[in-house]
Amino acid sequence: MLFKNVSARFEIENSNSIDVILEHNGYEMVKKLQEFTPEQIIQEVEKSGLRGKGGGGALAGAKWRLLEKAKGKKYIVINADESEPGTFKDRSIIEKDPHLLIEGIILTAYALNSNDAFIYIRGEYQEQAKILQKAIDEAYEKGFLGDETIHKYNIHLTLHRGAGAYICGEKSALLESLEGKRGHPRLKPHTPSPEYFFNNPTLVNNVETIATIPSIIKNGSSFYKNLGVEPSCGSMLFGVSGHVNKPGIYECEFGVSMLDYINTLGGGVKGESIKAVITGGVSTGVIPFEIVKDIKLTYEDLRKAGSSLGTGGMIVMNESTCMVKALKNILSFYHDESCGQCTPCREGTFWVDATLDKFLDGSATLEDIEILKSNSKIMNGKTVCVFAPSVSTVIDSFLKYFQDEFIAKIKVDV
Amino acid sequence: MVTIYVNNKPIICKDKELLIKVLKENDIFIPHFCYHESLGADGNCRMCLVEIEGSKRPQIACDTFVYDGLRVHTKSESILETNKDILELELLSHPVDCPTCDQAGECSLQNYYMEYGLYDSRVSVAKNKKDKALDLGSNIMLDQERCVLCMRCVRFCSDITKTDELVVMGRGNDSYITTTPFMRLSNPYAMNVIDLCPVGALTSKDFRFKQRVWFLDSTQSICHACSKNCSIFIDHNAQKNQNDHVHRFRPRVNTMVNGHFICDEGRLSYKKANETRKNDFIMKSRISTYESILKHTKKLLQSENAIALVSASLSVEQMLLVKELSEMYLFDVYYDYKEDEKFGDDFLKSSIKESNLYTAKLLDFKLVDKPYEESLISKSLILNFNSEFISKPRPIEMIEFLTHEGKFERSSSIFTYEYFHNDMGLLINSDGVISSYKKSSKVKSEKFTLLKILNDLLDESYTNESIYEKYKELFFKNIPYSKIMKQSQRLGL
Repeated sequence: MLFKNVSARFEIENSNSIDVILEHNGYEMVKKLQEFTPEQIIQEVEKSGLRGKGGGGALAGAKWRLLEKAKGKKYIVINADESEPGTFKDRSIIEKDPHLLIEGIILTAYALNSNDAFIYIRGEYQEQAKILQKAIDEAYEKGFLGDETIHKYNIHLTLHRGAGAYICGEKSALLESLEGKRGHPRLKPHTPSPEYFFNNPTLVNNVETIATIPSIIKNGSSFYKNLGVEPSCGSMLFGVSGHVNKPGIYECEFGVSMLDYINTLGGGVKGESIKAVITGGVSTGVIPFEIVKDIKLTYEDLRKAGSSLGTGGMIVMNESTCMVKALKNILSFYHDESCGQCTPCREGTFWVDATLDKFLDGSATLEDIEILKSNSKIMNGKTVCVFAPSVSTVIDSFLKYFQDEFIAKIKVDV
Repeated sequence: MVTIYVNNKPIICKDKELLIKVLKENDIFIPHFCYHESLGADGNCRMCLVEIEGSKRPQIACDTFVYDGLRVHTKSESILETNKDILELELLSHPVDCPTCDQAGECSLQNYYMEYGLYDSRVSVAKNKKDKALDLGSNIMLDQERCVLCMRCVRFCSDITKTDELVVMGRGNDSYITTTPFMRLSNPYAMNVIDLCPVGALTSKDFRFKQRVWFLDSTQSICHACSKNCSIFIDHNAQKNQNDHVHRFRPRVNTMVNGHFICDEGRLSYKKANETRKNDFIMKSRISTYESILKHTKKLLQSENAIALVSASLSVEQMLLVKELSEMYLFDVYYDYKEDEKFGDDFLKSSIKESNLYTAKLLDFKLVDKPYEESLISKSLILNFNSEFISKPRPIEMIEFLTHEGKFERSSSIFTYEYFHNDMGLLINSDGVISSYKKSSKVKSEKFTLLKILNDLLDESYTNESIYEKYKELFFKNIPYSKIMKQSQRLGL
């Protein structure tokens, strides 16, 4: 079941050191950079069916093409602001194979004719930022980055640490933050267009997406396209945490059964049985065991189940879990992390969080369930970014499958 | 031009125009907090959500660009419900202290509640508390609990004045507006954030707790603080047994002159309107009557060798009548003005403080300089039309026409006349734009206007219109009076 593509070098000792990695085919594609034309690389990525691994799952090639067509100085920005609860895949790439990411960045920049790239890393990833900075320094030293590189393409890479805001994982808020402003998501463009960094066309891609590029170029697009189940092509660093015996990151092809994944790679559930699973980071909502048992890990299957694959970070909850407390935990997170730009999200996350307190202290009434539902409605599709719709998804999924537990918390006066 | 349909009614408008702008221009009610004509859209308040046929979700009108055949609904059931729900969220932690809030009566939250709300509160969670009565500087007080975080004030300071004194701090519903660390709100246009604020979060320290806005009358006027001639509203009223009192100046939108804003100095110059002279006529240091001083003046004009000094802030019509008078009695008219380089900037403040210098030059009045001082020696009568630059080199007869206290109260004969806030007229600004200011129909005049006094001296009966029309071809490019009354007109330099 385990399929090691991006995670191929994770087990090697000191795998984040350039000397070690160079002995294990490190920068192999970068050394051959001049054998490819930029267009060849873009076409390979397009043909591979690679999808963005940051949660949206949009085709990476299409996004690249938008930037390729845009005019002006181009930038590449790597989104390493991995803050989605339940998600820790980018972290393992940064810790265990940062040079794979850098190799991917060089290939991407070359393909898209950009000479400047940034990695925006989550503020809380202090240790990871140190590892990444060391790797960048090493890559400069060895001539993979900088003005006079061994592969004859100038590319500068800068690591930027965030200040601890979840919303800066949203690509336009990330760019605002990178520009030195408050991290507020921008209004969405009306026609397909790249992102803009200081008014220059910019590509924002997830760490894992870019770390996948070297393997696609090396093995060819058909290799990648044949993995998984079309249109969910390739493999992904799925993660599992919560009530399992072996929480961690395990790379798999798309299409494996969720239950098998949890039982085999995750070491099985801790406790009696699986009650529910949060499928791909908390924003994707929760699904109960009856649905979990038939789910395959593909974008399409999860979409059909009313959830989404998201970042592939599953949280398993066993029969002892109180779903009211679980929702409270998640809503507190959203209340804390709402950037406060749009009214429905700013006030709505506060209201639902405060309402959940009422359920926990026993003062809730039936009307509070209505308040949760109406807030969920007003947060869905009426804001600048998808933060509030995610909150809405979470509330809806908890109430859809576990409303009984909420009603049980309501004190009935006899 | 394209045709769009709003609530099934066709509207013809420019292609790719912002939908909210089209709706506002066509007087279609569209609630909004963050959008402002001068600042553009920010898209944060989500109050202007409308239904667009063919679109799955409601869209904000401030980020929708019109195209031919666009069909918009602002009153469908689902949109009304959405608007109501968002308003409910805006009011979630609002203190609802309208009885003590100065914005009451001109508050968007109040207006929208009357439109969409009128519901019973279902809020059973504790309100989120924030800071109140914060002095930000420049006469501006902030109440963070009333704030809807539309960021107009922040955007004003970053986009318009480029001084960046205001920021949003905190996150989520703990976000609040405050000054940038180690800064106070201090720029010459700061008080515009009070008008921009759609709710009672930013109020004027100068105005607050003085008047309820629904007792105020608004008169369309022009600021006289410098030669930019910004369009303003004069908000005034008369309380029982008291004279009319001016409470504030507010900017009036005029795209040809000042856009949406005025400077703080101009805004606070309303105080001068409350400090005008008492209604009296003085002849040879004694209180006299209008008739006798009029007779006295006519006699002097006939017998003495006169010279006149006008303030370059007189209106076009007033200057024209002074010109008539000078032609009748053959005297020279001089003017003087002050240039304050420190005051001027490239936005709305002109370094020339006299509001109608352009006309004084246009009518060929002479600038006060050496010849004036020299010619003064041979003169036996000075006529002063409200000029501050008047000097009295030696005992000499002087007739003054004043709005405020004069320098030579004891030795002159004085006509008191209405200050501009209670009069009407035309002004030409430093960019050559001619605009009109109006007189409130609700205020009873207690003083004569300068026009009436000059008419009496001339034995004529010109009105503002007739004196302008007489000279419009000669000086004012034949622009009809009625056109200027409607809208400012460009004369060109």
